[in-house]
Order: sequence, then C-alpha cells, then structure tokens
Amino acid sequence: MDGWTGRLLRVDLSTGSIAKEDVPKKILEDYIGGSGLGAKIFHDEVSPDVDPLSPENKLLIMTGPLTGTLAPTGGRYMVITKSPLTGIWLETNSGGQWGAELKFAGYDGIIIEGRSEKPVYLEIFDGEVTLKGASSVWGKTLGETTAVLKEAVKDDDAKVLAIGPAGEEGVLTACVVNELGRAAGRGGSGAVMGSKNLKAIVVRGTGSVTVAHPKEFKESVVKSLAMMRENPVTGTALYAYGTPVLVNIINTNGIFPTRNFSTGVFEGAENISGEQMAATILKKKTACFACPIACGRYCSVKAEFEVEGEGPEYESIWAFGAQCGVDNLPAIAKANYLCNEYGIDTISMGNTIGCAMEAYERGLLKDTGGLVLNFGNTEAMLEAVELTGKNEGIGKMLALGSKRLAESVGEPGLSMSVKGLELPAYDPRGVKGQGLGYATSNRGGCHVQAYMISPEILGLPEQLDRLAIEGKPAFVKMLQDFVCMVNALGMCEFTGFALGADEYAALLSHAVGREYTVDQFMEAGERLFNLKRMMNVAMGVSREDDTLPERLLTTPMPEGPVAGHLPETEKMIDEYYQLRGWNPDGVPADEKLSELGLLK
Amino acid sequence: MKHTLLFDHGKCTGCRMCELACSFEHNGEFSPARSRISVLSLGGGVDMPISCLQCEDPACMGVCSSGAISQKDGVVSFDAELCTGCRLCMMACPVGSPSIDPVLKRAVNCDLCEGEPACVEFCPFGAVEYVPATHSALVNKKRIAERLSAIWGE
Repeated sequence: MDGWTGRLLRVDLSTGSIAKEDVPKKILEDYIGGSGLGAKIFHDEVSPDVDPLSPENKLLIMTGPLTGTLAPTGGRYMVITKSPLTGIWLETNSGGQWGAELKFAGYDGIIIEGRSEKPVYLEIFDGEVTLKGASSVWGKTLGETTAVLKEAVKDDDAKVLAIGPAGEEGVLTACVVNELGRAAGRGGSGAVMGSKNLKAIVVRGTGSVTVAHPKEFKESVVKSLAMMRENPVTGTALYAYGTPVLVNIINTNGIFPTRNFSTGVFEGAENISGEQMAATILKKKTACFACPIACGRYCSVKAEFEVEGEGPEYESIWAFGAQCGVDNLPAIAKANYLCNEYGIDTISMGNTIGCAMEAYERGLLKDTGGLVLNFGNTEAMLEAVELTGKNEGIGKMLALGSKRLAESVGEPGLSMSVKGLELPAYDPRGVKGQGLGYATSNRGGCHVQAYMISPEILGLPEQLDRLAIEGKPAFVKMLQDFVCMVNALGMCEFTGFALGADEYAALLSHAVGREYTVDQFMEAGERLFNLKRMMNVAMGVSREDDTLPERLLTTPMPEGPVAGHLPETEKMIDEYYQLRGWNPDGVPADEKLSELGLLK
Repeated sequence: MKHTLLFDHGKCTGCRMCELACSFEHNGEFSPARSRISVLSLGGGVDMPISCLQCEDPACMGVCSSGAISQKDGVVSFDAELCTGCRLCMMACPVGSPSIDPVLKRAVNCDLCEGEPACVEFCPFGAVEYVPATHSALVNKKRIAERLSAIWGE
C-alpha cells in the first residue's frame, strides 16, 4: 500500500496478546489516518460512557499517510482516547522522531486496550513486538526511563515514548512524551497510559514508506517547501525565535492572559520573549522529523536554575510566565523541564497553578502545606510542579486540573477552562473568532483546532478584524475541518501558515494514489469533525458546554488596546450551528450526518 | 573538478530530510535505514550529518576483498554485484559511511548523485553543501573541526 502501511497493531494488555490487523482501504480513504482514523476506530469500539481510567477505555496512537515521507513536517503521531480530565473526546499530537519510526516499523498505529497486571513496556522492532517488564523504570522520570530503555534495546536509533511519574500516579493532566522533549501534551493521555500499567513504547523501524506517484509527489513537496520558505512565519519568524516570537506580538495586542486572565497585558513580557531567549539561554535550534521550520529551541541555563533541554515554547512560557505572574525566563525553563521529566502538560499545569494562586491570594485556598502561592513566587511555582509530578501534598489537588480545584475551593468561576481543559495563551476578549474556536473545539479549551490567531493577529491567510464577529463562524468552521485533516495526514499545523488545501490535497493524492479534490479534502475534514462531535454528544456535551469561562464572558478587558471588549461568543453560536448543520442544541442533524456518510 | 559533501553541525537541526531525500533518490521510497547519509543526534543539542567524505586513498577500498569498491573521477563507487556484504568497509571507514542496505543486503555508499546530491537539494538549513575539494573547502573543514573539538573536548 502507498502512503499508509495498511496495518495496525492491537495490544491487549489484560491478556498480553499482540495482533497485527489490516485496515480496509475504504476506511483509510474516508478517515485518512491520524486522529481521523483514530476517531473512526474509537467510535466503533469504545462505549461513550466508558470510565477513562478503566481497562475498557482504549488508547490509540496513530500516524498518518504522510508520516515518514518528505512532505514538510511529515513526522507526527496522534494520541486518541477518552480524556480523564474532561470526560470527552481527546486527540493530542506530537512531533519529534517517534511517529516516523513507528511508520518505518510497518504500522499506521497501535490500539492499546485492557490493563496489565504489572508495569510493562512495549518494544517494537519492525515485525517483532514484545511486552516486557517495566519494573526497572516504573517510578522513574522521562530522562531516566528513556536512557534505561534505549540501553536495553541496544539500538541507538530506537525511539522512546513514555510516561513519567505523573502518568503513573493518575495526574489528570499527565501527558505522553517522546525523545525527552516532545509531548502529546493535552488532556491527560499520560494518565490513561498509566492506568493501563504501560510505561513506554520503544520503537525501531528499518522499513520504508512508499508513495503512489513519486514524480508528482516530489513536485508537490518542492512546491510546498518553496511556499514555506517564502512565508514570513514558517520561513523566517519561527526559525529565528521559535514559537516564543509570539510573546511580544500577543502582549502588544493586549491579549496575553496575565494572572489567571485578570488582564491581557503583562508588564514582564519583554523578559520572557523569544528575543530574550535568543539572547540568553538558547543553545540550538532544532526540528522535528522532516520539518523545514525548526521552531524547536534547545536551551541551557547555568545560573540560578540549572537546566538543559528542549523548550520552553510559547504556550509553556505563557503558562509559567504571565499566567503565574513570573517574568524569570530561567525559572520558566526549569518549570518546563520539570513537566517534561514528570510528564505533565505545561499549559494545564501553569494555568492550574495560576488558578491556585488567585484562590490563595483571595483566601479561598488555605491548606497549601506551607506553600506561599502568591503570583510571581517562582520558588512556590516550581515546588507546585514537583508536587504535582509526584502527586503529593498540594500537588494532589493541582493534579486534578483547574476546574476541580476551583470547585473544591467553592469558586468554580476561577477556572479558566472550557469543557474542563485549561485555556491556552490568548485572551479571547480581543480575538473573537479565537473565542468561538475555544468554545467549540472538540477537546475543550484549546487553540489549535481553530487557530484564529493566524487570520486575526498574524494576517494569514488574510487579515481579519479581530474585534468583529461577522464572518467568524464560517472561518472557525473552515479551520476546524482543515485542522482535522492536517491531524489526519500526520503533518504539523504550522504548515498551515503557508500552505492551503490545494497543497495538502495534492500531497495526499500523490502519496496514496487516489485523487482528492479540494472539495473532497474539506468534506473529509468535515466528516471527521462531525464524527468527533457525535462522540462528544454521546458523552454528554451540549450547547451549554460550548461557551467560555464566565469571567471572560462578562468582565470587559480592563486595559490595553482591547480595553472594554468582551468575546461575544454567544452571539456567534447559532450561526455556527447553522453552518455546521447542527440543531440549536448543538447536535449534528441527521441530514448533515447522512450527507457525510455518518448515519448508520 | 573533484567535489565532496561538506557538513555543518551548527546549521543541522536534526530534521533528517537529507535521509529521506537520499533514500527517495536511490530507492524510490522513504527509508532512513536505506539512506547513505545519516544524521547523528548526540544529545546536548548536537545534530551531525555524516556521509562519505570521498577520501583520496579510501580505506574502504583498501580492505575490500571482493573488488567491489573503486574510485572514478574522485568518487568512491560501490558495486553491489561484487559486494559480499562482509562489512569490512564499514569497519575501515574513518567516519563509518558505508552501510548494509537492509533490502539488498549489500554495502552501499554515497555516490554524490552524479553531481546533484539530493541531500543538498532538500536540506532546508544549508547544513549539507556540495563543494569543490580544494583549499577553500579545507578551510571550512578546519572551522568545523574546531567547533566540534570545543563541544566534544569538554
């Protein structure tokens, strides 16, 4: 098969059985791969009311048809499961090298089910797949685990994906990390993996990925690479300063959420900017597999906080920076490093600490075990991360995420989350399309399912008035469908700054040997988005969940260039549902489902 | 004029597009295991592309007992028909360039793509260059060696 390998691994941890299954071509063509194919499998195999941390929940790790090819950024994998943090659909993806290595081993993905009695790890060496005891690495951090398992496999090219102590401990914001510094960060997939007693997946692949039309595929790659090179974001800015290039841009626009979203202007932004990073702690620019952008930042801090490794990237800088009132870049790098070692989502961690800091300052959170959780207290922030990673002391409360934390102190409104997933680094009061994107993302408070910052702030592919609501529902819908496809292909969303549906459709068509017109490409994306929504509806999501935290909806931005503004999300919802072909409760109508081939 | 590849670890980001381009050029498929250029990620932020440096007096050719390795117009050439897969060339090469192709089961090595190396074409960062093997290129090598010794010498 071209593009796809057409083969999945199914690992039942309860019985220890390992099976290789072929996927029907029609399923691949309709659901593409990555989180698309993952959605189809999850929908067909898992009950919507499954307890996320029970053996009945499944954890899918999927690549796409372009993973392992020369398609720009074709190296990603997606983790699919029911989130223990939000109780709804979760897809979360990562770059690095691991996804491509799995493809070269011969698999489009892995379906992990059941629960092992004892801690185990999965070792994949091309066709040889074995479950091995993980007692030597259970309880160990990512750094230790990766080193031990790489040594055990005796192949320097093997790639390690693992959870840290946080995932083992059931921290609801625990993530999956590959090659030390790349994470499928959001929604607690690490806790699901931990609940299955699966510590790691080591993979080495010496096979190949073929494409159906080599000459045309190469031409599409060359064209796409040229467009990315000429684009100011993918060709210049992200290479020069990494994603932290956004710190100054977003702060200047007055939407850099500060101190638990109490304002959008952070006085210390300059100190934690991409420019500051480049001038101080940056050691090396790094790229994921097959990526011509290289937004990765390998940093080294020698002074107060000794730390060396990948990151921090923009969202992490914000989470441990402005959100916690901290303007100390080395301390932020340390917090990011601790999250990578313990295996915790940086966005949810920093956001939750910011929430706890507000609760502490307002006297609502008293029992912190002596931790002085004032905004700006870097030592307390770092201690909070450590305790969460170990699930000890106040960390036990932080491990549950901001929604449960805010509820437990009697002030649910303090949680800056949507559907239980902590919001990222853009205040929706000054980017109204992004607000709608947050409200309607299938996995909750997340920016990447519809990155409206691109048109609303960066002017790509066109400049939209960020404070207007006209036309935003249609744009959000288009971006959501489009991102469903990027995450199905196995590429990075950052390519979207430069490439359009034409380029992706051409790459896909020439890889798999079946023509996708742009319309068919976007329709496939719409199918995937609706399939995920159907699962969410079955899991209890309705109109009342498609909203933002009340603070943001009702308190106008207090200062800066967007002072006085509100997100106006509720004014856009009906139009959005209409465009989606959903009923006023946010449920996909039969007519739409039938049109997309989703009606049984 | 004799040309060689020139590698700059300072520019290499570890994206491995050179490996994909190489296997695609030679085998029509994407497979780092079949690539004749490899990016070594050594940790500590060091990524280093390595491939044949086209020695004037190739050690691989000297140890090859089956006559599979020759040199023509300054390019070291491997003959899969004659190769027995004994791996002596891999041991002898100072940079470990030759490798056993996992499909052919015979030693393969960089052939400079008849003067238009695919790895050079697809490296987005200019970390692999195709340069004349003259004095100016040697100066570049010396510069790289100094930077490497600064990192590895610690």
